[in-house]
Amino acid sequence: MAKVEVFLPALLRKDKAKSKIIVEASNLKELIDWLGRNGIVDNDKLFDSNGMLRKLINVFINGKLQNDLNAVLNDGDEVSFILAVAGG
Amino acid sequence: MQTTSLIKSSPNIKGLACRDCGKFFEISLNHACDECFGALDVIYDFEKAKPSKDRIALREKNMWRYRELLPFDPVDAIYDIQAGYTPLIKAKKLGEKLGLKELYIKNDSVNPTFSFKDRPAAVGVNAAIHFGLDTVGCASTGNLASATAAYAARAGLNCLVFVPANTERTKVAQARAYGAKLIEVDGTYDDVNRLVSQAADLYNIGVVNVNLRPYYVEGSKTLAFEVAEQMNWEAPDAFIVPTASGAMFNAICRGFEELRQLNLINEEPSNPIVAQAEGCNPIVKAFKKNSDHIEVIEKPKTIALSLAIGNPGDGVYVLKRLKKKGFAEDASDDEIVEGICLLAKYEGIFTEPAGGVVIAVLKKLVDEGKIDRSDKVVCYITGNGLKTSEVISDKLESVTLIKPNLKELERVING
Repeated sequence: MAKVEVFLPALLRKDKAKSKIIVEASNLKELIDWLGRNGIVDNDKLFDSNGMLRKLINVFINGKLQNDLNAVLNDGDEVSFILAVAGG
Repeated sequence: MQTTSLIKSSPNIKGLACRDCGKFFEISLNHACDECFGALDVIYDFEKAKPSKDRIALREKNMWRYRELLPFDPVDAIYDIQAGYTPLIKAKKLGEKLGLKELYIKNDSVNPTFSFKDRPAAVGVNAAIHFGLDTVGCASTGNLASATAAYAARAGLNCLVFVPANTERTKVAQARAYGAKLIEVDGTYDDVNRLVSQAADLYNIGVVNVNLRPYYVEGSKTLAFEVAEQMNWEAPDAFIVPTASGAMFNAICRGFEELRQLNLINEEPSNPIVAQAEGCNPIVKAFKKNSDHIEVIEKPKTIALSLAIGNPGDGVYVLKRLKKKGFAEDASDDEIVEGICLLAKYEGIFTEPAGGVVIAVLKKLVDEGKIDRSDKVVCYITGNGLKTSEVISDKLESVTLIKPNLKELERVING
């Protein structure tokens, strides 16, 4: 299990959850499951009907775009969930 | 710093609606749907918002003459630097050169900060005041930094602008001159955009192209309104837009759609065209593969730095539109420089590389028969060449240096 810092924008997190939290998980899928189980995000909203992470959510690990749920996490990684519609 | 007055939103606005699932939202400081995370757009009540051609004709020649279709009304003492109503020029010589009967250049490089970004920034910064914010910001490839900074200066707001560290020095200096705090990020525009999206969430900042984006993009619709009015309330057959995030392309398409809905034009353009640089062409690639999915360009490599967005926020929406009509095409760096020079030499307009992309794509699509030679074609030229002269100066004819005497003068004149 790796200890990682997670950033979640307001629209993805539930009411009282913080924007930055520390989570222990081995990969992205485990991390998202943990966030759901602990009432930080609503997993039903994060995934589409095919069980895929919604296209309009980008996940970055240490600044690199990584939407593969099997992506392995390492101690000290910074995992950021960012809404895709921005910029320009 | 506290703002001194709040600006009311236009009574013509119904609210915001998700572009994907249609969910309705009240006017708020929110840019994405809380159900599906789609982009939010401002929705107008067309029973109330009924601009007339005669009323518009009597108004000041700036972007606010189309106030019924913008989120704020200038009678509400908005902060303004007089963007818009830029020239639409019939490009007879360039048209002849490329074999086109009716070519027009919408020269938006003559706005107050010398790019089209003054239009969306105008609405974005006033939206920040509407929401009671005292600090605005943006993620920028250069042009938006200056536009946001100029409006912030006008409105007396704090301004934080973020740009990639490779941004042209002229653009950086310009934004700083308006008093903005400019932060260079050692990374690509997409790195900047990610950081600024986080800043919008963590701090109390109105980021014009993140949390104020639904309002911000409305300003670019005026690029469609003006062209229609300047063509005597007709739409062109084709138009070409330099495209990075896709926000401007979408806004121009929406502008023509709204004019059609209000019967101010009879038909929308039949051939909307996306123009990208070959070194950063995620939308063109997806279009040519007939894919709905944008493959991110992680390391853009082009002289058209203002178009170097590898992960375009509006990309999927642009692709949706292109499925119905239009084309997407790209241009190499050499073609971009040729495009800049063609526009300068034939029409006397000096544009930045994004404009060169447009002219290069125009030339390609005319040659390939994808633009009809008898069509009315509008090229959107959205940034000024003076901001990026370092890009082409070494590709132009060399400069001759002489001593100040007649002998040397005769030598260069007689050649």
